[in-house]
Amino acid sequence: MEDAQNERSDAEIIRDILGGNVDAFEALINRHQGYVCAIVTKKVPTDRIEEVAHETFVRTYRSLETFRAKTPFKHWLASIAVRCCYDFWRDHYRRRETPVSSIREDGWEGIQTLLVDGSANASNGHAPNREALRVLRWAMKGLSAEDRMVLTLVHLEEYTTAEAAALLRWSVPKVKIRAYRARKRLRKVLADAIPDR
Amino acid sequence: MEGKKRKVDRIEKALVQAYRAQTVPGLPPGWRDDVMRHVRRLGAEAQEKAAKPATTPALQKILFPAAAAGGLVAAALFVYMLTALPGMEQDLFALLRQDPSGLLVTAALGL
Repeated sequence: MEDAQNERSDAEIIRDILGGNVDAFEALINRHQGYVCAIVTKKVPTDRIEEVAHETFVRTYRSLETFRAKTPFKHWLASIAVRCCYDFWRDHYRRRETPVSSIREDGWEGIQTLLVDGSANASNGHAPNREALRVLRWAMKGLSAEDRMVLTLVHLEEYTTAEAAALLRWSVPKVKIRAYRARKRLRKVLADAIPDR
Repeated sequence: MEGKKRKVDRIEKALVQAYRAQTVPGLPPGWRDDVMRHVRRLGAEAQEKAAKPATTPALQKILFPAAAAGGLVAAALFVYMLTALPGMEQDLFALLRQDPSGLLVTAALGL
């Protein structure tokens, strides 16, 4: 039974689901959960990955009727996953209660560590530098949800502007401008935290 | 002394490398079942909705166009009466005054 599901194309499974066989959706989850997880993992905090991945598949199910087989299902699913991450941050920012002063202190300490112990040179080739990730998370807090998403896709994950535009459902010029400004803002946040002497 | 721009470049590079070096953890075993439970619930709700006889929308489909058409006919009739039958408004007014049930209306109007 599982083998039969594996042999079917995404489009066939979707037709089956739309025909009333809700259980067939499990085949889509099995096939794409790793891909969705990879998209979501680096974009939201670790303790929220499950929740955002869950929301991605539920939204996918809800909008299956609007899926047109012109584009591969995987691309369509990726845009939903990115949208879920974006919505997560928008919601998060709306409810943010952390005082700005404490955020600044956190980042300042991290940057000091990175500069002093020389770990800003690389992540020693194996495990990611925890301090660098902490500084990155801190610096990202100074950006809007839009800036965060576009910066993540274009600068950190190296998507082309056209790919990022397709994922975010924005125009290419908007992605270009936003990505440029977001990076500038991130650099300013970092520069402001570096002590003058 | 190292310039600020260079320091920012150095830190930015380290941040990008650290970001890319992160590993992707798998989702826990029960996660898929949770999603499927949610999806099945949504599916059942959708089926329930589809199975319900849609009386209200059907009624609305008939009622509103019928009311609009009736309103238009009444307005057209009223305009016709005023233009094609001269003195009609006086006759109507007289009838209203003579009619016992119209007394209250005329009294309310102070006539």
